[in-house]
Amino acid sequence: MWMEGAMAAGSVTNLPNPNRPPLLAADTVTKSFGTTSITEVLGGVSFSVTEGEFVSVVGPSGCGKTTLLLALSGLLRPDGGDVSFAGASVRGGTPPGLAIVFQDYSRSLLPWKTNLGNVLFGMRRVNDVSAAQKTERAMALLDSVGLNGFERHYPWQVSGGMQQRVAIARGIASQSRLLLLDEPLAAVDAQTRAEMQDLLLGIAKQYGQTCVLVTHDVEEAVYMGDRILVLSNRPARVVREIAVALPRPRDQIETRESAPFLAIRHEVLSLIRSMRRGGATGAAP
Amino acid sequence: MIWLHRAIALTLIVTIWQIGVWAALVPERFLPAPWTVIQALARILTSPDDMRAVAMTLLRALAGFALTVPLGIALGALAAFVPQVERALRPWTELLRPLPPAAIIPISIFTIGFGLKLYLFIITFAAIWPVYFNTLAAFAGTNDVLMRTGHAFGCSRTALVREIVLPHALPQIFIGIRIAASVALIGSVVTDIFAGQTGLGYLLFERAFALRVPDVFALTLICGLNGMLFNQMVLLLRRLVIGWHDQMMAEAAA
Repeated sequence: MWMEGAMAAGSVTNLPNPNRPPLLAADTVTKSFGTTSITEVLGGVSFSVTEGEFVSVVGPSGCGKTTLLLALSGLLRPDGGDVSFAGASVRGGTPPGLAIVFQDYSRSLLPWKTNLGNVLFGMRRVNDVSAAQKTERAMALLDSVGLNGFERHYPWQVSGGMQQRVAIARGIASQSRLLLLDEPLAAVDAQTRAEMQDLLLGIAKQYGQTCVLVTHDVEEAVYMGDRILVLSNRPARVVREIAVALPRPRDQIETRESAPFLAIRHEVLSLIRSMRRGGATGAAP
Repeated sequence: MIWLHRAIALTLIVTIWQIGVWAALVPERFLPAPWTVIQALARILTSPDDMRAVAMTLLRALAGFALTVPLGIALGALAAFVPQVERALRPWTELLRPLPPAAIIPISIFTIGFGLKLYLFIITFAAIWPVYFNTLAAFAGTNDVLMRTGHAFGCSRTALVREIVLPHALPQIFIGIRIAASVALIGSVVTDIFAGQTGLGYLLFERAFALRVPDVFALTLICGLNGMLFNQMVLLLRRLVIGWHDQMMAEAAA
């Protein structure tokens, strides 16, 4: 099934290297909610992410994408299966090196701290540098997300797009290797979104971040990703992995108009539509 | 601009008052003219004995307030973090909360006696509720995203309280603190009236029974001015502790 996508996309450039251990691995992760009426949300999700990859996760609405991301980050304990980051289970909570960027930036940023203070909060587990060095790094990070001059502003004094940039900078400030992005651009307006997509790709490259992006926007998933994981309806499973062999750097106009982009978009959209129509759950394809 | 509006409002109120006096709707010995009240006010403000009484009332209110705030926050936090405590205490909080401070004065005198400890008890009893309930609600109401953010950046349980829960709760706790400040002043004056040998409330009733009506008006005015003073004190405290929130509210209103 992995090859189907590969053929649709042309040549494969990001085959996971079997000799390198994955940075993140989910092994048949299951999760249910409720006590009297039980809702099975994750029905055995398995996949792995290699260092340096950008993986997009898409699926029908309400399929449990956010639940999956919480489980990946160690914020939510799965009922069954396990998630490991850099070879160790995340059972004990979010490990250093793993950062999460939430969709709801306005509630995730601390309103009592300035933008700089929020980025410094991201460094609370970084203890091999002095306070002055931390501030210097935080200023540099804010500069690289385009917030030069807004360091002393509070998050509620800047626009939504800028708030999400602060949240991204805060994630990377924790010296992360892996960024988990939970629909980070769903709440910003369409114009800002395209700009933020390119910013995220640039930042991920600049700071050597491996990324897992959960999104409901299929075009965004294709545009951003090296690989796309398509989830089924609840209980969610990975029903297809599609390699996105589009050249980088991506371009908002050229890439989105290229034949391979449209082919992958077509494949993912058809798959999601068929699941929506059929109401199918995560039976193996 | 705002000062102009306030000056106009003040002039209007004083004018209506003066017209009421001239119209003699109420005999002048019961409704003194503004100027008579100002003269009485000046007399009280320059009388060391009277001013000592005013200061006593303020200081007792301040002491009661200083005792109430940490106690209310501590109990509210306990109730928020140990829900069993909150559930067990709820019938008692519901029973005691609506009691007016004056209603508990007899029982308090029987059990505690007179003096400063009586004041502290009455004030705390009356003023603790807004602090307690606002603290309880604030600590119980931290949103999921904020808590997850704390966890995601490696906050331990204590770090979570210190870095997320407490700063998030402070604006709401201050709502309770601000109400408690005025209730503390009310408690102090009411205790003066019913159980005091000194103080503003005692003075007020002493002059009232002597039918020194201009003094009664002036002392009532001082009660209100004390409330304004207390409010300004709390606003200053709030600006020092959660200045960011004042600024956020101001910008949201602008």
